[in-house]
Amino acid sequence: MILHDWFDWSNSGVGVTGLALTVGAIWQATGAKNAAREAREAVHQRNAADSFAEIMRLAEQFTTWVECERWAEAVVQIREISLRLARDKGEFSRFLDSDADKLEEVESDCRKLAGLLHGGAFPLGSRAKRDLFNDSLAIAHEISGILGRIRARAEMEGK
Amino acid sequence: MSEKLDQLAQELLEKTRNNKLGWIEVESQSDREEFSVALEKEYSFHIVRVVSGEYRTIALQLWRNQFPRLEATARNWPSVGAGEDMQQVVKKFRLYSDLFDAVRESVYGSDETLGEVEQLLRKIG
Repeated sequence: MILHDWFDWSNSGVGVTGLALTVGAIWQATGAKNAAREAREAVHQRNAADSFAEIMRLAEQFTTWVECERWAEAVVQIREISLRLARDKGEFSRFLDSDADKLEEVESDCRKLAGLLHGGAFPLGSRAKRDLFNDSLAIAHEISGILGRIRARAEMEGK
Repeated sequence: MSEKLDQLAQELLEKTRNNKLGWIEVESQSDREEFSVALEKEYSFHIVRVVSGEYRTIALQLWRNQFPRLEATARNWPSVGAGEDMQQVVKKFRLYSDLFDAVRESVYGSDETLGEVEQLLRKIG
């Protein structure tokens, strides 16, 4: 009788321990999964920042082409900026928050400038050049702002 | 000497924009546009723009007694050598290009002038 009780208790003990170990393993696995997801998000967010930094570099280069009146390079550059903005808007939309609309506007401005540079009435007058410089600076300014906010959000979430 | 001409280019730009200088066109070849303005004591400035495809070279020359004495040039395709600051190169090209545009518009009229003329023609009916 005593032996039987002892078996019952030990079986129960083993069962409880097994259950505890299983729960612990599940808890650990969930934690590891969450950590992996967070790490993946962090990498993705860093990729977004890197990608926008590259677009920022292209935008700065574009303003230099415009300042130097190198229209052929400028039109190639603004088309590349426009295509990259469209791609990154799709790929990194969840990190953009309210900047998604802003990005839409910038992309539209880029398309307009590409059209103007492609089919513009050259040689441009001083007023048309001035407008073009201002527009190119405005685009670089907006992209710089978006990049800054993406970096700030990444840093906040990292903390 | 080139730096001195850059300073004078800035002054020429301001005076040209304020219509204080009487630039005239100098006859030249098709890929080249040239304008000059006479000052006292036989001095004059010439500004020349040579366009070849995407390449633009703008030269500002100081003449005396019908001969060029000093020249400074700005290009939009600069070969940035060791120690040459790209920002400075771009800044110089912008100054010379703005000066050339201002001179050209003082001779031929600007977009604004054309707009005004268009309005006047419409008034005539």
